[in-house]
Amino acid sequence: MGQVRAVDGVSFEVRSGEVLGLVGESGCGKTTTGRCILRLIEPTAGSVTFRGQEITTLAKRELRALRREVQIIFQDPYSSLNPRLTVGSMLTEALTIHRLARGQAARDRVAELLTLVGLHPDHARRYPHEFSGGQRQRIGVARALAVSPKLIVADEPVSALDVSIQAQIINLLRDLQRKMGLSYLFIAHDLSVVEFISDRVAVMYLGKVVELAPSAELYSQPRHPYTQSLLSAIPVPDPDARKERIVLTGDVPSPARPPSGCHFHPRCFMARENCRSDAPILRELSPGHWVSCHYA
Amino acid sequence: MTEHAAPGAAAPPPAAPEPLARPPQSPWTLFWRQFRKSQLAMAGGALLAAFYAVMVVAPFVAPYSFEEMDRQRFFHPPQRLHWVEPGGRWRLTPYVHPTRLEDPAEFRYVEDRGRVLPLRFFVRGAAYRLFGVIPWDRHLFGVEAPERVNLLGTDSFGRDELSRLVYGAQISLTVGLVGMTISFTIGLLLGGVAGYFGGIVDTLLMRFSELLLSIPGLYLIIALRGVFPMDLPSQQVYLAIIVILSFIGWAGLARIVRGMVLSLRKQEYVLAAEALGMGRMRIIARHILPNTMSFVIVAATLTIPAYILGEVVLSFLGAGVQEPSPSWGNMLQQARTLRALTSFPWLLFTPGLAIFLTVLAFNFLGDGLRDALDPRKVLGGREG
Amino acid sequence: MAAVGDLLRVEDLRTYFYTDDGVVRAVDGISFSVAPRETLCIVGESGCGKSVASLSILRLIPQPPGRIVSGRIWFKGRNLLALGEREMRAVRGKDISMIFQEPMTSLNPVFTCGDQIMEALVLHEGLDRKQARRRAVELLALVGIPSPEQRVDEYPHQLSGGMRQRVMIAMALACHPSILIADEPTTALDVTVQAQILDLIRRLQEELGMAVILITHDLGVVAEVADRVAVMYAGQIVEYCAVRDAFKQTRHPYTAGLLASLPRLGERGGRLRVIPGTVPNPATFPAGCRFHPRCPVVQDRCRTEEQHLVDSTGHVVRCWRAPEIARGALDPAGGEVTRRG
Repeated sequence: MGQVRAVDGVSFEVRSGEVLGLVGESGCGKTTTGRCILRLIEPTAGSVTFRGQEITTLAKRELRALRREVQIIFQDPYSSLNPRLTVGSMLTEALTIHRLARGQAARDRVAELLTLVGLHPDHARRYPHEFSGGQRQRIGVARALAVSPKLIVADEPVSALDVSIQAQIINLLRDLQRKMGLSYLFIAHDLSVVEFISDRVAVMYLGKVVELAPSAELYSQPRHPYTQSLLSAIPVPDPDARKERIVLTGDVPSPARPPSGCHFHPRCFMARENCRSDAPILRELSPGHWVSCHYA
Repeated sequence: MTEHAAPGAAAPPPAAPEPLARPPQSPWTLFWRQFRKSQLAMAGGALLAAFYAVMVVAPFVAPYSFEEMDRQRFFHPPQRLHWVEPGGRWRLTPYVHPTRLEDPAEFRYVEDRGRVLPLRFFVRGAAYRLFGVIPWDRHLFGVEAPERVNLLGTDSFGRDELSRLVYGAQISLTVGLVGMTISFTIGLLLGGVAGYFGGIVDTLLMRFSELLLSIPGLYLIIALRGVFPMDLPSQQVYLAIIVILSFIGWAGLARIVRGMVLSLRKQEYVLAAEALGMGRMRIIARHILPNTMSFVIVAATLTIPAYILGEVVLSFLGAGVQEPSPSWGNMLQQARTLRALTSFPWLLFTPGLAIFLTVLAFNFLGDGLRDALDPRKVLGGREG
Repeated sequence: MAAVGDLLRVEDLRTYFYTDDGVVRAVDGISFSVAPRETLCIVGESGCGKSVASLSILRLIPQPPGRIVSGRIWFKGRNLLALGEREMRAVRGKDISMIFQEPMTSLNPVFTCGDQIMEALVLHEGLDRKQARRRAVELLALVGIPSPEQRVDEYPHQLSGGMRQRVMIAMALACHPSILIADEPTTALDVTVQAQILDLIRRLQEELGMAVILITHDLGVVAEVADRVAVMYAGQIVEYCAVRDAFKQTRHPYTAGLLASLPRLGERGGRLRVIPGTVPNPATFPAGCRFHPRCPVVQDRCRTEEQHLVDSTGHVVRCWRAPEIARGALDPAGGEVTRRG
């Protein structure tokens, strides 16, 4: 029986009121990380503390209390809403579970939430299939906000949306964050989106964090070769900017059989002998800028 | 390239969100709209509605009781309704000719064309209790006493086939429905639990259901019937049959529900409910099982005919409902001999046609339901 | 608009779908052309009709409920829409090939990669199995798959997403088509793999002298590979021009809106410019210009009259205000007009 080390020794922190971006390609473990934080997937080892409290060992009742503080927005607007419930029922459910409001007070709160995300209160009577992808995503945001959390894990919230709708939802998330002092763990594979909304960004590859830095610095001075390749691979919407591109060879390896030593070494243009045998550790190369590479 | 305009410059303000133009379309509205399109399904549904309606008021519709014997009229063929009088005049209500027995050995009857027996409606007849509660004595139709009318003929005891058919419907049609409801409930619950909790619970339940499914249905029914005493009173036999059918019927449904639950468990809205802190049983009840409904309803509708046929088989073999209580199954017993099939075919066709139409109607209904409940058509998919 | 040396010329193509909810005019009168060795990108968001347009060229539209209602598609002197099915089959896979978005579902999981490539060769070029297999190995090498002699006998599930896409490209190129239609070929792939595939397509295009029609929603991809761009919205082409003009001399408000709403690397914070509202329901388009409810520079005329295409020196725009925009007197993104330096 093999073990897939989806997330293999990841450490980071999200500060109050900040947006931490988590980027990486498929199989890097970012979604698993996000879900571990909510204990939707049980972590195998390690610790997750929220406001100083260790949550991996919480009992059921305390876990439920945690659910008020940490919420999640999913990627797929089509499967994240129960097709048989009205929007209003969905949102009321959130309020009922935590005894936040009942009856008329609940209805008022639902109307408030819908308005907050840019929908009309009347939409509470409708079913998910009557909405477009962007609108469904807004409903997902409303559901996450219903319990007034402090931290929201946004798991690829705009990846399944059209470009023009993405912009609307990104703006919405940004406005809500500023207005309500929320913190986000913003998981995505689209670097331009992540840079736009995040304060700091962590880059993951095959279950490990390879670089972590403030947003502007990551993009202007990427230190890890993977980050550099990733940045250069993004197609830029400017025909005059056809640039020198670092094209990586090979495909992203499967997390079930990661390469030895530094996971990135088979595709790395800077790799040397010891990269195959020694796994690097995350070191702070300059204040706030952490890199996991022997030769960065 | 024009520069990025300063934030807040003349882009139109986001339009205030409007309520959607059409009225809310619940999944049920969409279902009905789609269902209406299938004529076969609608016809099947209408036929079944008619059958069940007749069954409910059986004592009223049936001109005679199911055990009344008329020793003058053994093996009487179905009587023809006439609408034109001997003189040539059209009538509003039909009539029949009285008959007399011409050849007792061959049971041949001859119509007396001279006399006319008009069919009357809301006639007084034998007393009964409607719904088992309201005493009454009117029947839908009949002829003046002492004559009798047998629109579907009589059987070897001189009992009116039509009356027996209508009373028999009470057994045959309800056995399927009640049995299905019970096994439906059991299957849904056990399948839901097995799928959601997995592990040892799942293993035990599934192995047990496989055991049940591996025994051929017919033999299982008969064997289980043998568990109960052969000469139980009618009521109890009826219950015994239902228990037997339910006992074997839940397995198939449970397995399928379990499969659906396994995949639904991974849906993000279930994860979202967990993330909100909802309890597990509540998640099963509110998020998972309702989404299996479309399949379950179709499966149930398509299995009811099998239950009906199960009862028919048991009764035909003499292990089900006993004489003189009628069921469509034991009415078929009358048609078992070659002589019956050749000389008195109505004994076969009357219950046979009723069973055939019922099973066909359920199948059409089930097909229509399946198409109408198909989530890909109804609930919409991805854009673009 | 159409040059003499065009390889493919589409004129006024209309593909409608007849559904219970009404007639969906998925493609409603588009015209474009592709020259040899040129890359045309058809770009638009979901529901704009770009995929339907590409399927229409190869007449792969399911016949009920869809129907190619009118138009002409000129290819090597023949109108593809007038061909019989048998003749059309001879074109598909041989002269014009197509690759799709999802490599997992486009490759048959029960056949080896080699078999699938060889199918086209045996069918169109009449090769026997041995020759076909040799050619298949060559093709796999051409598309950059390492150890092609082994890979040719492997099944799709044994390959990664990027490799499967390469196999698809190999299948499409087996018979040296003059045109390759690629429908969102990199959307399902990781960014680093996307870069490899785009590179590969560009390299093959040069080596084999093909024309490429690339359908995508990603404006970055368009900037990277396109020579010409056709922007689609609600079943129509709203802007059709050289790639540089599309980005630097944008004339249609929709295109400008799309460009403005992209978060760019190196530009943090602030708010993104959005195009308000959503794409219209294809069964009920608005009257007049289909974009008018969302347009920042809408005028009364736009609400009632459907506009014609305005062609000025190869830059085609479907907008009443195109002349003003072209002059520089109006910003199609709705901002203040600033003097360009």
